[in-house]
Amino acid sequence: MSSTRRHFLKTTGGFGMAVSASAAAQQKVAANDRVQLASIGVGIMGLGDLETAISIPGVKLVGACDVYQGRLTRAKEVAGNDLFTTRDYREVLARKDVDAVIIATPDHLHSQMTIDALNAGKDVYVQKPMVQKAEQGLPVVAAQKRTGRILQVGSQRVSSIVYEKARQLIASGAIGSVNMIEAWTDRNSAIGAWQYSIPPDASPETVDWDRFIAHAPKRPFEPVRLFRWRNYQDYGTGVAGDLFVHLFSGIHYVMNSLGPTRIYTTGGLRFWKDGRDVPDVVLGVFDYPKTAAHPEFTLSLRVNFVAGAGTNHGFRFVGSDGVLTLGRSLTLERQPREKEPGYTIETFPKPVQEKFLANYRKTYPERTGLDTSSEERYFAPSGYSDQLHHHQNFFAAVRTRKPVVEDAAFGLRAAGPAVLSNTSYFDQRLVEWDPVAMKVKG
Amino acid sequence: MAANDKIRVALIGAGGMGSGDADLALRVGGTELVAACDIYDGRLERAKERWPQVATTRDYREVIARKDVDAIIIGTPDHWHSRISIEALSAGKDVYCEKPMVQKVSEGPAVMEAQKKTGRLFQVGSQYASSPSFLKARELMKEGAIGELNMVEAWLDRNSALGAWQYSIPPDATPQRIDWDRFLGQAPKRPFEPIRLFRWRNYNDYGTGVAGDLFVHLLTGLHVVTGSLGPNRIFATGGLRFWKDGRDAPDVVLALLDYPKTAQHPEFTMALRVNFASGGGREAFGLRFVGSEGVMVVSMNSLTLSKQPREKEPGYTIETFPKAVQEAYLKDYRQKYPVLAPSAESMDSNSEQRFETRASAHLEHHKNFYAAIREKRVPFEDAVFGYRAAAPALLCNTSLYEKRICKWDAERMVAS
Repeated sequence: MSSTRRHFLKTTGGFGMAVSASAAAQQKVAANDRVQLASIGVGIMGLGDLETAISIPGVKLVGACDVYQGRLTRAKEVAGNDLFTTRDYREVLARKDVDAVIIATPDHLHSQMTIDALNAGKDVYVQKPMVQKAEQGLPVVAAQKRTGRILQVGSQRVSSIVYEKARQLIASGAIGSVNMIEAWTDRNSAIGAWQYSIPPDASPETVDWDRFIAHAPKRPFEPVRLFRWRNYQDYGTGVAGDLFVHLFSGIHYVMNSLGPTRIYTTGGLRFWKDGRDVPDVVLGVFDYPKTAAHPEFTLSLRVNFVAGAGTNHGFRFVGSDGVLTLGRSLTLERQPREKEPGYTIETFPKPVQEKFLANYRKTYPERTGLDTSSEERYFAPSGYSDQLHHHQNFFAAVRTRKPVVEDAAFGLRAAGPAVLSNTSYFDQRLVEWDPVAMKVKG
Repeated sequence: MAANDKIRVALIGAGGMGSGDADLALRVGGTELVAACDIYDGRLERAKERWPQVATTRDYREVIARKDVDAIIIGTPDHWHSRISIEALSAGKDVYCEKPMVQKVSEGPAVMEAQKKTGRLFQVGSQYASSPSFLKARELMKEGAIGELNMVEAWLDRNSALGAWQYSIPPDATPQRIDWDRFLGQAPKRPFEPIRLFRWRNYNDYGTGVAGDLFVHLLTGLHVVTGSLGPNRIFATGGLRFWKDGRDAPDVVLALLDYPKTAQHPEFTMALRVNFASGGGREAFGLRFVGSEGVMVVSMNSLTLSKQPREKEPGYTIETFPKAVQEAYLKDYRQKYPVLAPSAESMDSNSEQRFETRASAHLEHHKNFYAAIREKRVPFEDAVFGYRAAAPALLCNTSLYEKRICKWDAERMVAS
C-alpha cells in the first residue's frame, strides 16, 4: 500500500496506524511536553503560520530566522525579546531546544532547508509548494523516510473539514461518476497579484542579499526581487507552482488521487507588467487516468490575476448525477438521471411516428409522478479556520508520531504537476508525469 | 432577381437541422420550398406531408440540376458538406450550409475557392453570428466595456440522451428505405447499420464529434464578438466517459486555444468545454469574456455585463515590518494615496447590467441569408468566416486524437 493511500485510510478513521520504528526511536516530544518551534522565514506566510502555531496550547516559539533584519525585529515585537533570531537558518537547525521548524522562505530554498532540517532531527512544516523543481522532490521524500521525522506541507485545505465532507460525498457516489473537475483562483488587485510592500529601510545592510539568492543566479541588490519574490522564476514558482498547488492538493485529497499523467498549460503576462517574469493568466488541462480510487477524469485549472469583476476561488466536481461546488462552503446539486431518453421523430412520416411512439411507450410508459432534484449546502462552523486545523494536525503528529496526510509524498504529488505546469507553459509543450513514481516521463 | 420575386429554396438533408432550417426559411417570407432530398424515404414522405408541393429525391444532384432552385440548404451529415457545397455553388446556387462548413481541415480551401470563383452567396449555419446578444457583446467589447480582454471561457453542458445525440431511429429503417451507399459517400464502406446514419454525429466517419459540432458555435460567437481571425495554438483533451453506446467520439472535451494580439484585440486565452454528462443541471451554454475592468457573460438570448473599476490604491502588506518601519511606510503611502473622507462621492461604483432579447437567433440568421441574396451582398458568416471557425474546432479533434499541440495560421488559414 502506498504511503499516500495509507494516510487517506487513516483520515477516514477505518484503520489503526502502526507507528514506524524509526519514528518511535527518534521521538523527542512526549505527549504532554511543550513543543519548541522555530520559524525560518518570517514574511507574510511565515508570520501568519507562526502566529497560528503559537495560538495552539503547548507550542512555544523559541527562534526565528529571516534575511531581512526588520522581520527579526518584528518577530521579537510579536513573540518577546528573548526570542533567538538569526539570518542563518543553520543556526536554528543547530539548536538543541528546537523540536520543529516552520519553513516559510521563498520557494527556491524549500527543498534544501527541508532536507537539512530533517537531517538535524527536526519535524518540519514547510510552506507549499514543497519544492521549486520537480526533481527536488524525491530527495525530500527519501529524507523524510530515512529520518522518520514528521513533514507536513502547508496547503491547509487538506485539513479542512469542508474538503473532508466533499471527499465523503464523492466516495459515497453523491454525484455519480466524476468525469471532470474545474478549479480556479481569480484575483484582481495589486496585492492579490503579489505586489507586496517593500520596506523603506530595505538596504544591503538590513538585508542579507547573498543568503536570499543562495543557489539562484547571482544578481546585484534589488529589493523588489526579495519582497516580491513570487513574481520571479529564480525564487518563486509563478501562479502555477504557487496557486495550482493548492488546487492539486485539494483535488488529490478529495478524489483520493495520486495525480495526472499529462500536463498542458498556456496563458500570458497580460496586465501586471511590473518587471516580473511570470504570467498573470494561466490555464491548464490535466489528464487523470482511471485508478482504483476514481474513474478517468479531466482537470481544468485556472489562475487569473486580472479577473475583471469576478474575483473568487473554488472547485467544481462534475459527475454524471450531480455537481459539487467547493469554496468556503460546499454545495451539492443532485439530479437523478432522466427516466426516459426522449425522442426525435418529427422528421419521420406520420405512420412511422405513430409506430415509433407505440413502441416507445411500451418501454417507457407515461409517468405521472414528479421528478426531484436537490441542492444541499454545508458550512463549517463560524470561526472555523482550516489554517489552524492544519497546524493542529501538525503538532498532534509531532506529539503522537503518527503520520500526517499531507506528507512529503503527498506534497510532491501536488507540487510536481504544479511546477511542471510552468515547464509546459515556458517550453510550450505537453509534459508527461508518472504520479505513482513521482517522476517526469520521457 | 427582382426584390419581390420569391426565392426558390431546396433542402438537401431533411433531418432534424435541415427540416428546422427549411421551416425558418419559409418563416422569413418571400421564399418557397420547391424540392427536398434525403437518403431515407421516410424523410421524403414527411417532407411531402409537411410541404405537399415539394419534389423529392434521394439524389442531391437532381436538386442541384433544377433550374427552378435559387438557393440550397445543406443539412446533411458533415462528411457531405464540402462536396455538396462546391457542386451547388458551381451550379450557380446560393448556399446555406449547416456548420461545421467542412468535416476536414483540408476541405476548406476548395469551398472558399468555389465561392470566390462562382460569386455565389454562401452562408454557414451557425446562428450565433446573427444573435442579437452576440452583436450587443461585440458593440460593448468595442466600447471597452470590460477593459482589456485577457481570457474567454465558453461551455456547452448537457446531460440527456438527446443532448448526447442519441436520436430516434425509425422502425422502418431498412436497406430498402435507405440509400446506404449514398449516405456513406466517400466514407469507409460498411454494411448497413442504421444507428450510424440516424446518430451520425457520434461517429468520426460522418460527424466531427463535440469539437467540430459544438466548439464551432462557441468559436463563431467568439469571432463575432472579438473580430478575431482565430487562434495560433490549439490543445484539447477529454474522453468518452458516459455515453458508451458504441460511438467513437468523446463526450467530454476541454480545449485551450491561444489567440495572439492583433489589431482587433489583445492577446487572450480561450478555454472551451463540452460536457455531455454534466450532472446536476439543465443544458447550459455561454461565453464569459474576462477583461481588466469587467466580465461579460453572453448566452443565446441574454448578456450580463459586470463592471468594476480598478482599485484606486494598491493597499499594503506591512505587518511583518517592525512598528517603526510600518509607520514610516504608512506615512509615505498616505502622502501618495490620501485617505478619502467618507462621503457619497467617495464610494466605488460597481455595476451589473443585463440585456435580453426574445428574437430567435436562428430566424435572424436565415433572414440575413435571404436579405443578402436580395441585396447581393456578402453575408457576414461567409466561407472564409466559416472556415476560420471550423478549422480550429476540427483541430481540437486532431489534438485530442493525436495527443499533440496543433498550430494554426489564422490569417493564411494553414494548419501545421
